[in-house]
Amino acid sequence: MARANVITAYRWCGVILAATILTHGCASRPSDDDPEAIAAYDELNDRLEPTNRVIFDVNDSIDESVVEPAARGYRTVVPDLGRQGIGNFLQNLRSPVNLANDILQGKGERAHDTLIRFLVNSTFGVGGLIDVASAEGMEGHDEDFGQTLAVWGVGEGPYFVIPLLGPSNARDATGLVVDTFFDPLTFVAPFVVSLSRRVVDGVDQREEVLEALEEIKGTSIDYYATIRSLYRQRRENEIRDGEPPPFPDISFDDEFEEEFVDELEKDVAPEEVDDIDVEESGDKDSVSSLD
Amino acid sequence: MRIYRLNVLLVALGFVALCLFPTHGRAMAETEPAAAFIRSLGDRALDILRISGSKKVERREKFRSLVSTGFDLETIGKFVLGRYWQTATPEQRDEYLVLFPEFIVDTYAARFDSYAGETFEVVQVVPIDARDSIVNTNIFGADGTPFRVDYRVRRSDNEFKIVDVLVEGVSLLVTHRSEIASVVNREGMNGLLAKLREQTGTP
Repeated sequence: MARANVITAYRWCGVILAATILTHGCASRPSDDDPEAIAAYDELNDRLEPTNRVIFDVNDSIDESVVEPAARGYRTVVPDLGRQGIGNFLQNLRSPVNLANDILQGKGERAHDTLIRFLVNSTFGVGGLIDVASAEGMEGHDEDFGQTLAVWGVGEGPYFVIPLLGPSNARDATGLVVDTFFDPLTFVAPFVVSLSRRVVDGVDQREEVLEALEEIKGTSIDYYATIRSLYRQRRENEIRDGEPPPFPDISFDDEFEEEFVDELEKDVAPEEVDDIDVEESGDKDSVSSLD
Repeated sequence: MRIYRLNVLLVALGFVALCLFPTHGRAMAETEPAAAFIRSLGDRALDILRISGSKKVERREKFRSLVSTGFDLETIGKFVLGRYWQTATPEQRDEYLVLFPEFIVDTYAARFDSYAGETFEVVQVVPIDARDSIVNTNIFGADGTPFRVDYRVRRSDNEFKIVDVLVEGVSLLVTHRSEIASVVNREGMNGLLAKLREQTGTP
C-alpha cells in the first residue's frame, strides 16, 4: 500500500515538473553571429535555466521552512559527539557504493582503502559510529556513479535542479539512480528504513553547511548562479579526487592595455621583457609559452 | 590468526601514537617569498582577531584594510566581469571599479572575521607561470579538522597580491565570474551596478 502511495507521489512530481518546464521553458540560445555570447551560454551549461530557477526557489523555501530549522534543531538537541557518530555511521553505510565505484573507476588503492575502512570501522568502530580508520591515517573519500561516468569520459549534460534534492546534471542524476542499485540496503531494508536514512543523511549534511550556506546567501548577488557554480566546481574537484583544477588564464583583452604593453616592450631590452607583466595584454600566446 | 593479532596490535599502537603526537604542523620547506607573504597576511589576520577581539566594528574595519591591501582588486574585478568589460560604457566601468572592490572587501572581511579559533599552516608553493603561484594552506578548525585553502598569488614589482582563493578546490574567482555573468545576462550592466550598490550599502 505504501509503495502505491509513493508511486502516486512520483507521478504527481512528474506532472508538476513537466508543467513547470512547459510554462517556464528553456533559455534561448543566442544568435549565431555572436560567438562570445554562445561561448558564455555554453559555459553556463544551463539550458533549462528559467525552469531551474523556479524549482530552485521552491527548494529554497522548503529549505528555509523545513530543512534548515531541522538542521538547527538537530545541532541543538544532539551533542557534538553524537552528531559525529551519526555522520560516521552514515558514511560507513555508503561503503558498498564507494567500493563499487572505486572498482569501476579502476582505482585499486582507493578500493582497498574503502574495504579496509569498512571492515575496521564496522568492527573496532562499533558498527561505524567511530571512524577508527581515519584516526589511523586512512581518510575516507566519496565516489559515486556520477563520478564514475565522468572518469569514463561521459560529459556532465545540462545542469538541472532536482525538486527537493537540489543541484544536479544529467550525468549525476543518472548516477544517483544507479548508485541505489549498488547499495545492498536498497534490497534488504524496508522502504521506510531507506527513506529515514536519506532524511537523516540530508539533515546531517545540511547541519554541516549551516554557516557556510548562510554566508553564501548573505554575500551573493545571485544566489542561484552562485550555487550553480559551486556545485559544478565541487563535482569537478571530486572527480579529480582533489587534484587542482586547471587554473584560469587571468588576462585581459583590453585594447588600451595591449597597446600600452606593446609600447613598453619596444622600450626595453629583450632580456628584461620577462619581468614585465606580459600577460596583462591578454596575449594568449605569451601566456602559453610560459607554461 | 597470528597476523590478524599483529594487525590489531599495530592498529592499537598507531592509535595511541596518534593521540600522543598529532601530525599536523609538519610544513614543507618554505623558501618562496609567496609563502612568506601568505604567512604574514594570515598572522596579521590572527593578530586582528586577538587584539580587537570584542570590538566588532573596529575589527571589521581592520579586516577591510587587510583585504584591500592584500588582494589585487582591479585584476579580480576585470576578470570577473569578463567580456562585459568591453561592452560597458566608461561611466559604467568607473562605477564598477569602485563598487566591485567594495563588494569583495565586504565579503572577505566577513569571511576572515568568522575564522575565530582557527590556525593555519602553509603546506607548499607551486608556481604556475612567470608571476603566479599557488600557495597551499591548511586551516585547522576548532576541532582540529583541516580544510584546504589555496591562494593564487601574483607578483608584480616584488609586491605580492592575492588574485584568487580556492576553498577545497572551489575558486572564488570562477564563482564570482559566473555569478556576475548571470546578473549582467539577465539584468544588464546597470542591473549589476544596482545590485552591487545594494549589497555594499552604497547610495
